[in-house]
Amino acid sequence: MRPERWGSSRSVGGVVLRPPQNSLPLARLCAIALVLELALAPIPSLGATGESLLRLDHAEFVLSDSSEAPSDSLAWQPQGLPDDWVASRPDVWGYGWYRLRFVLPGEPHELYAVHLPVLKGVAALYVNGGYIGQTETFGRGDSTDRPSLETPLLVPERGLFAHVPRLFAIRPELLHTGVNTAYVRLQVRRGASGVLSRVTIGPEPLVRSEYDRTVFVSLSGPGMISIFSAGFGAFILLLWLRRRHESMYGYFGLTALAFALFVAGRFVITEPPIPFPYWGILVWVGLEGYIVFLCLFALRYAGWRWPRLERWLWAYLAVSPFIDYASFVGIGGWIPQHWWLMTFVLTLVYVGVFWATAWRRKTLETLGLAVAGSVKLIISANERLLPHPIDLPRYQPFAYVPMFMMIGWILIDRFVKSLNESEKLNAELEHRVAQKHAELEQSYRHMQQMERQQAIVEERRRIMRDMHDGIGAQLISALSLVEHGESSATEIAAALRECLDDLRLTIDSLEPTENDLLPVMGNLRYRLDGRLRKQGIDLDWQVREVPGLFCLTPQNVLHILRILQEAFTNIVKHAHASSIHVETGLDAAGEHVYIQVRDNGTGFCGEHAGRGIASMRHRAKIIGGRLEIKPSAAGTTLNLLLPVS
Amino acid sequence: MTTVMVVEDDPAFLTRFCKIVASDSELELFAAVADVASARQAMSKATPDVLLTDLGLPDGSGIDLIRETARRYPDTDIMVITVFGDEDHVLASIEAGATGYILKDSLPQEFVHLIKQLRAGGSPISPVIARQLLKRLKPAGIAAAVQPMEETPLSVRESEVLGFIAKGFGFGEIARLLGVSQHTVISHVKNIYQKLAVHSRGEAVYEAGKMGLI
Repeated sequence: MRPERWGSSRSVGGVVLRPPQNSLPLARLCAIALVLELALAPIPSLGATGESLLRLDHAEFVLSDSSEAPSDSLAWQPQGLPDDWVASRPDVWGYGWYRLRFVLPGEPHELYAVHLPVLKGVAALYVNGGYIGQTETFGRGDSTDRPSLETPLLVPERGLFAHVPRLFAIRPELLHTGVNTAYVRLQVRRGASGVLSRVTIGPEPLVRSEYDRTVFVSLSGPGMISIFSAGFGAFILLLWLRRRHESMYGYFGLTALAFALFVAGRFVITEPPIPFPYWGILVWVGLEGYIVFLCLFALRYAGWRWPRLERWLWAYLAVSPFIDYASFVGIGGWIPQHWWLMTFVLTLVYVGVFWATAWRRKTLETLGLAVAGSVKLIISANERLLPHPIDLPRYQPFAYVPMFMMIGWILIDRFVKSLNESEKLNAELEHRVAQKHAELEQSYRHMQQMERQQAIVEERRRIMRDMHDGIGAQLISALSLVEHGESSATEIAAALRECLDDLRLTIDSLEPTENDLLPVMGNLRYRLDGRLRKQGIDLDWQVREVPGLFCLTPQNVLHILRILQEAFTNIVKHAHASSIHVETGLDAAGEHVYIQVRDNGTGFCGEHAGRGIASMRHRAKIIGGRLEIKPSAAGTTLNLLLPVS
Repeated sequence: MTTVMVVEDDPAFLTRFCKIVASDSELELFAAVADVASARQAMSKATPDVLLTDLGLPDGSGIDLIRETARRYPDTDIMVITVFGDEDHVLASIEAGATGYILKDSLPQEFVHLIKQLRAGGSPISPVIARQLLKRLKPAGIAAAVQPMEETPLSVRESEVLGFIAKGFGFGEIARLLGVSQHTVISHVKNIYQKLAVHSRGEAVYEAGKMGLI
């Protein structure tokens, strides 16, 4: 039984196609026609078609375990090249020989070379009976050492993935004019693939340059793309780590990394670091992963939120490794074998999303992305879905590059734009703040001016009121004393002196206090001292520092001064005291500053003082304070309490 | 005997002051004039011990007279006569060189007492003025930090004295509180007056220098 799973029908990233003769009758006809054509074809001759290189696309084949070129008497069958062993000879493995004939028009003098773009399996090359070289040692895992079907995982599968193009040099002595014969001995192990591509023969420099091109396209080019993709993906991912909300960056970073893994595994790494089929699964997950991430990227790019589709995509990615495994070990039937078609479905999804976005936005950027995506789709489809000779170069990794560049450009453009935007925004903000600041300053200045004017008006009114109530009233009473002519000069002088005292009080109240009560008290004492001394009253001045009082406006200072002046006047006039104790301090609760005026007289709270005391209380209330008067046998204690805050 | 010259343009007050001076046995009236020119003339031959002057005079400012006298006759004590003892007038006078002030409505005995006190070396000072002086002449420590150019900062003791005066304490009380003699306190106050005068002269010199006058 032929293990289909290793066969060419498993198209691996577009490597191998199902050969047409396997399915359709028409294809089978074509195959027959091809065989006929091969049988009748002339032996290719160098220079016959004007080409300097000889390209051999047909050979003859015979199955033979012989370690030397089989004789011409065996049943050599015509065989077109490239030849996929597993497709041409299902269920057969072991050793086979290819015979290739070619004609050289003249005696070769320079070094010749043979280029085999694809050579899978263990192979050796002979020309005109001379040994040229081989790819590796024959015999390992040969037909006598077949691993059982039960242990397929132990089989190394190299042919499925990257392969190395081969170049063999031929010494000119081995060649001669006319028909030359080359033999390729090929060993195909059970479960492995075997391929002999078309063969190019010619002078060494020309063949080598073709070989170099092949190496670049199928090996080093994809290698560079893989490395670049990994680097760029890592960079974009790092960017995303710092800006988590920009999920587009995250998805594209993952896309690039997964793509790098796929390209490396599929085209670059010829010696897998882990055994098959795990290596195969890993590479396949790279492919499936990058397509899923690209779909998610496309959805974010379009600005579409389709959570259900996104969930399906993630589910696809989650189950894929298991289905890939099933596919590699050949279980599960049709679905695992055709699971790879899903990659095309999803490619169609993201290319579709790109086109829809291009249609909606109609920008160069979106259109460019759609075209790049389509190029990618067409090239992959061409190499995987349509007949594609096994030994032709695969441009799938290169097809990815335009799209990759486009997306990279879009992301960087976005990044730069948002940077510029934020800078512009900052500048604008600064400008606006400055503008607002200027406006505020202006309105503040305006307000200040208004407040100042208001304060001036109020102060003027207060001074007028004070003059009216204070000195005005006192002058009138002094005037009436003079007019009645009954008062003595001393009485009139006393009345006028009172006027002067009141005027000084008003002037003192205008003194800036800076919330300090002590200068107010100090000044009061300065004004009263002479009068008290004249009356023979001792003053015990126990004024101490007190907390700042915010109520000490000129108006309130005048109220305080008037209250205290009234108190002193009452003591001097009515109490017959010999000493007055004045004290300031903070009350126990710390809420009020008290001014205490205590005398040792007989009290002044009689009828005559009633109106004065009412007025004092009223003033205390205006300040927000309180007046306490405690008469006792030993004298009267007056406490004026002023609020601290 | 202390000789007193009075410069006052209000004849009633001039008469009153003359009477008060004449009534005391220790005081002698040197001259009584009503304007700056007469005052200058009076002092051209001899100088009084005490000059009492009003600020608003018909032919000039009393401040000028004070400045001139303080410069030319440093032995003369100058007192300014003021109605309210308000800071503007008093401070300007002190800056010009006055060492005391007297209220126009003072009773005769107060009047005589102040003159004698001034002569004995003490200058009366009100809490308001003390406060202003404290502000103008910052204590040494602060001055050194804030204004290194300050020429005549107050000493710690002087600012203490001013602080007490600003709170209304008398010289006697301050002497008791600081544990010094009343005489010491009085001399502190006189020093403070002089410092203000020197300070303002210093500023004037500085200003003049800036204007390129000297």
